[in-house]
Amino acid sequence: MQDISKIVRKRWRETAPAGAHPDADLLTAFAEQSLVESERTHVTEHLAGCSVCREVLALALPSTEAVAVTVSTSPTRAGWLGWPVLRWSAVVAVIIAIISVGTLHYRQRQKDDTLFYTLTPRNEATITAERALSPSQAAPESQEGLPRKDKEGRVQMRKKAPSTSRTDKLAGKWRTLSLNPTLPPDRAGVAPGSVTVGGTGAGSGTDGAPQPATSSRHDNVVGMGESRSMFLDVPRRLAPSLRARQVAEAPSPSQTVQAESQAAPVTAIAGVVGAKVPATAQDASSTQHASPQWSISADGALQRSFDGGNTWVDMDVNSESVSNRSVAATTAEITYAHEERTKRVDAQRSPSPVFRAVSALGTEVWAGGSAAMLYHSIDSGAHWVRELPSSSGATLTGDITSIEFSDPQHGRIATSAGEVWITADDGGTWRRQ
Amino acid sequence: MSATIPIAAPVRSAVAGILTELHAKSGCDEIGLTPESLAAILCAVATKYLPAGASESEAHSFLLTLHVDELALARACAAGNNVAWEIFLIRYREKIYQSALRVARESSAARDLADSLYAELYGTSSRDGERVSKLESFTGRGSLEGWLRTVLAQEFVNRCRRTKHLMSLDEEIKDGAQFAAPEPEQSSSADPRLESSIDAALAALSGEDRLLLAAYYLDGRTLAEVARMLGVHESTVSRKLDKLARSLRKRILVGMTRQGMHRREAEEALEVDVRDLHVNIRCSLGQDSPAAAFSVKEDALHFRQETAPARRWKKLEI
Repeated sequence: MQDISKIVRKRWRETAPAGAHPDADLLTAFAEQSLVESERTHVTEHLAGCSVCREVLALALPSTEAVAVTVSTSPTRAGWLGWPVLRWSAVVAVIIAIISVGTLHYRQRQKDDTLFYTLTPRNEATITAERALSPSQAAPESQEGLPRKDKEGRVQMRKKAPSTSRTDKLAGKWRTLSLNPTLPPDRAGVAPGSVTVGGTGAGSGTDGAPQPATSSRHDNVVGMGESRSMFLDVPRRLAPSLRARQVAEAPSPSQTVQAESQAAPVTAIAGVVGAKVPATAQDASSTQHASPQWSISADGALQRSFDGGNTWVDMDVNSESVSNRSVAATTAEITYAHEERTKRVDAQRSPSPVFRAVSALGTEVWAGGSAAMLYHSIDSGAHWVRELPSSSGATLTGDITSIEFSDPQHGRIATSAGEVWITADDGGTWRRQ
Repeated sequence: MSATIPIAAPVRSAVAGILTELHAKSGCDEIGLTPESLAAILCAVATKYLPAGASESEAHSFLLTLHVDELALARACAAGNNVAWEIFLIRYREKIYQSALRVARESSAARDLADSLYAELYGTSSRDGERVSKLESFTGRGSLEGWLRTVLAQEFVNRCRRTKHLMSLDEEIKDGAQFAAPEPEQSSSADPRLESSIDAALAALSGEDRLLLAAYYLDGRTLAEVARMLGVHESTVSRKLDKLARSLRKRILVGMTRQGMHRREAEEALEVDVRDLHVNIRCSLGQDSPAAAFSVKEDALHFRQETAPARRWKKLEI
């Protein structure tokens, strides 16, 4: 903004006449915009020349909420971050997001025609999820808050700071976008077992949507079927297999978007994220606190679901953050060249234990498996610590076959060698029973 | 509360017209205000603010803009009614303290300010043997809460001026300013043509424009603050200020060229750094007009960071 020269300022100050100061009532009425025109002009005239009264007026202004006119309280002079600019850039970003979602969807449709659907029965390992909810119960519960979040989420996205964990951010974002009504009750038995299969399809499905570099590394969801997509109607009996992962336009709350696939919305999110602040830490923590379900797949992978069993993610206890166990390894014939995925395959070569048992209490998770591998996480699986129960020289041997925690402190582990280990202080010390 | 000023007939009839309604709405019965007293109060207020020849309808609409319930409460408190005082304390005690905190920004000064206001409101001073309360002067044109805030702000500003005026003299003695080099001519050595153009250009602006410019450039307030002061949107303020600053500059230049300066010369005169001018500050300081003296020292009141321009200006002068 153009400045006025110092000379002008100086001169103005020297020549300012005061006149009679308005009394407190007039000043108050001026501040509250309740003066008639003639009085207002008179007071304005005085204020223009009297810095004392201006100071008083500034101090006596009502608090920001009380002011009838909405004004922003940004201290900076309106520049590039002014509200009008931000508003339009947000609109542009949304448009870009919609376009990118549309493009992805189109491409995915093409690729879906060549997908290979399989259905393989799976046996579940022992699961002791303390707060396991049935999917039908979980689904509405996890979804009921979503419409609200969906409408609010967009608003909130603008204002809050980005969360630190990308997975959480994505998961949270996903919650903002999905609007899934209840799922059929027969999912309960099918859900965990068919995970890997769905993963197979999902792997390819998500492959079909080439991920942008930003967010694809984590949380490529081992997706589940039952996608009530608008665009591809796959019959129900192929439930665990890949249903269309197509996602409608991300920001539209009126469309039914499935919680399973994060592929396309991830892109949409990425588009939106570019312009706006991504999902909040609140969303992130809400997904954390939404007490995920835990399960073991038949080939010993530890899996976690945040949405009541619809989608399962393989947990890699060896790495810091959640990363997907190589799904491509099992579906090598599907070769959607994508850099991210090949990188991830390489990363997964390190051995991870074959899990046999898992126990979860709130955000605290214990998972155990072959060769006495016992892992403990207190943040729903974001970070893992390897524990080795031992007492007076003897350590736990064998495969861990069951873990039971009746409360956060007391736990009991049984191994294939016939041992039973008990802790009363949440894993601090163990003793053999 | 006795009206020493004669009440005009239109005012009286306007008051009479809506008296019962106002009396009922304001809960005057609980606080012991009779309809007659309320009528007298309203007549006095209307007479104070309305122009002499106001018609009954004008008086009527004026009365409707008043916050009659708060006016009644305040006057009842001033009259010494205990119920009224209790109600006042319940509603406004916390607000007074919070407003004081906002004004003084520091809790001990705020408490001090709030306590002194209480004393004044309660009426510790007496005149002619009767207790005089500051609430007597409340006329209901603005909300009582706003009025309390304004009164706090006024008291605060006055205190600051008193202390800073004393302190600034000490500062000058410390800086050795009283031993300044032989002073140049008494009036500023800025070009008189420049000065007259500036005066003319400023005078040509409307009051509101000048208020905008003063609040932003002289006081150094933020756009948001200026917008709140005037009750307009911030972007409106921004646009107006930009336009005004440009047109002001143009007008000054035109004024100077009309008086015979060349355009180039005029522009240079406008841009000259003040430090090169030997402006006599003492003259300004010595003026009796409180506004002028205050304006020079005004940065004393600006504790905020946004007023850096004003502060810088002061340093240049001294």
